[in-house]
Amino acid sequence: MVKVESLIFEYPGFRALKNISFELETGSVTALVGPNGAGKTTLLRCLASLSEPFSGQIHINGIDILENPQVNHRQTGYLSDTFGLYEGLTVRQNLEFIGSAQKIDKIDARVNEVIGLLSLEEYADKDAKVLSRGWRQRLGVAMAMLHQPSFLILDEPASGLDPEARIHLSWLIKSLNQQGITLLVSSHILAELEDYSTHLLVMQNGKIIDNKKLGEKLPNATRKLILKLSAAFEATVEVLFHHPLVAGLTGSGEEYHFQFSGDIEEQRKLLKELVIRDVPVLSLEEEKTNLQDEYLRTVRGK
Amino acid sequence: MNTSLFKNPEIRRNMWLDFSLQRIVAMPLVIVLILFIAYWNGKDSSVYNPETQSFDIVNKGFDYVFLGAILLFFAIVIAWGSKNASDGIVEEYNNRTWDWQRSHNLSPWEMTLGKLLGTTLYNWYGGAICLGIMLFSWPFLTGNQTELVFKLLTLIITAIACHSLSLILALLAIRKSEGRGKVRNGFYILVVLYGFSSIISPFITGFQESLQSNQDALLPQINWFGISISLGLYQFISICIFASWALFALFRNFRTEYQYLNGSFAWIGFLAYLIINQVSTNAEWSILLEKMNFGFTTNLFISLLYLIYILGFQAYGVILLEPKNFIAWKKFYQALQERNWKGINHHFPLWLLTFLTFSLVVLAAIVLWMVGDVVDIGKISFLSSAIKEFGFSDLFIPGILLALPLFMARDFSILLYLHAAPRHKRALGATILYLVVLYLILPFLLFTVDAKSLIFLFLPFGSFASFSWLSALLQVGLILFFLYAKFNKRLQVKAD
Repeated sequence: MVKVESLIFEYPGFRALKNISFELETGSVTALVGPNGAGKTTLLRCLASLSEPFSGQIHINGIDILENPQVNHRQTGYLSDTFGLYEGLTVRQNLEFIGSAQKIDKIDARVNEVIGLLSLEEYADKDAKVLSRGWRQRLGVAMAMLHQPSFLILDEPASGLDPEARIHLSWLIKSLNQQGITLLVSSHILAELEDYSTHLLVMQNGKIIDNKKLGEKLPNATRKLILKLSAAFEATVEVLFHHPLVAGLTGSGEEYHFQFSGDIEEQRKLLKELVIRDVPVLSLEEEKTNLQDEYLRTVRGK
Repeated sequence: MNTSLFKNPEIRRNMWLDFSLQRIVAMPLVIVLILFIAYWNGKDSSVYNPETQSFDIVNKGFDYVFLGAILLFFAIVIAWGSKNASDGIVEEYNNRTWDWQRSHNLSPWEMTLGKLLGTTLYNWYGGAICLGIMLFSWPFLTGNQTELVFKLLTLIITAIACHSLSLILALLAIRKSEGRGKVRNGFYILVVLYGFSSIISPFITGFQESLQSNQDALLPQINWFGISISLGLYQFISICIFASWALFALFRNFRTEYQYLNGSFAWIGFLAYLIINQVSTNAEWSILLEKMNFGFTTNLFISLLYLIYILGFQAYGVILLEPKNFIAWKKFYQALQERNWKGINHHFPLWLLTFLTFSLVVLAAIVLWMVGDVVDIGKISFLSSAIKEFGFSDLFIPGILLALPLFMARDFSILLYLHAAPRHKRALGATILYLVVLYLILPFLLFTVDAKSLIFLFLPFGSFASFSWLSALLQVGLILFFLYAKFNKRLQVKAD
């Protein structure tokens, strides 16, 4: 779907994108995360054919977008972090304007459809300038997706939204993804990205430092387990330390973390052994890592 | 205008925004009121009658209405329209809607037409009323207004050229800002209006003269490629060609905004047009030269001098207006290193093309002076006063001419050196300051301390003016050395 090769972008005085390469799968929702100044917005603008890179290649749907920027505009939707609405126009006029600029057939029908999808009916005939940030964001998304792009880029769409608007945004992204749209979403709010992202793309200092599928579990692969006790028990360390499937033991007292290379059955056996040895087990379960943990581990580890 | 033009989203959007009922009514109301005042002032005009040697009371109301309509057209369409055209782009940028515009599915031509007519739609509404009133009052004019159609068409085409140029300058301002804060466009609008007011003023002056003399203003014939043509028609053709270039340039600027790469051939074409146009004809020069009857070689030499003036002005204008982004330079440099002709064509700086053309024309003038049969320079009235002071020698003119591109190269090197700094926000101001010191303060200081003979170090002036080029060459070498060092340092951007 998206293939980026050796992309370099320079601003006067510094290199914002440092020879980066990556691919995005069709139908994925990729969370683009990274600290401020990592080069996220620059990358998104290059993908939207709004900024010209110094060198490198970008193919979207097999099209060289540096050679065919306007073809890319037809297949890609982009919403900047500032939304950028026409304040003097009504919500409907904003959409009609973008629709005619995108040469959409049957504009009225499509505008009504998008207004319905984004629940903008109540505000359709109100000027954009009177909208709150949450509604402005909805209108921005509506404008970016109006021409039915196959690839939608959202730069910090959740920034400044209230909890209700964030829930709606999360629902909307999942809904768009179900319609077959590939999405690339940058955000600082990692908890939300986790709700709808299938992939994680981590940027730091102008480089891609991780690009992986989220929630991928391999059978028989090493898992991280967490053992919680109701009270500290001396023999715990001895049991775990000598167990052949346990490695990387950390923790003390009432909580222990370790890598376990056995399957569920082996995990049951370990639990049984602990109970037989009178270890006061409260729980033994797989340690859940969230997007934030993944991100922090990636950023700190590189 | 056909219906498809009204389907242009830019035009539709501006109709939504600009055509409230109040504004639709206000425009004709204000125009009619102003022109009614003009009519009232002109209806009982005193005109001197040489036959009776007395003043007759003549109704010149419609002449005043016509003149008033021309002035209003200038104010509403050309002046206000140029401002609106520029604001149309700059406000989009400042309000962060520009990215939508750049993501449009409109072709660059559709965008060009949309912006050109959309941003100035309300002004054209007023302009159409003014033109209607001009046509209505035409049969009632007391003066003999020949070529009136050309004059009116020239006004319309001038407005289109003005709006195009305003839009181009606004796009350049946006690009020059490199995303740093809000863009201000007031200066650029003034540049456009100043440039075009010189085109418009002859019409207004000519019409005023015809009102006073009760006959048409003089319309001299000029020689255009051997064809005798009236000045009015020549001006109309010239402005049409210029407006076409401006429209084409606007189209290419919108291509750039859409992320298409443009080559430099169009600019070469424009410079070639300028050369052909200026060398073959220039209305005022043509009339002047014909009167002087110097012969072909001298006429060509004088035309080249005029062209040097035009190109020099243009080269300074282009380097000031063109974005001097170091990254663009780096791309150009890389293309040169790789002998990537496509890349070289795409990234060739336009000011450099203009500078090279300027230098070639200077060289042509020097060669013509050296080998051609150019008449004694002292006989050319507009040069003679300058010549008399310094005494004439065969080397005087070539020496001064040679100094021109070198001083220009020095000035451009200073500008580029200051722009090559990572933080170059105040580079333009600093350059102007340096140039004021070099061209004004230092020469004036030398003049004050009675060291006039040393002024040639900074200006082609004084008894050693023909050696100014040596001083300019040394200065260029010195600044280029520093510029090269800075450029090399900046090239070493760390990859990590």
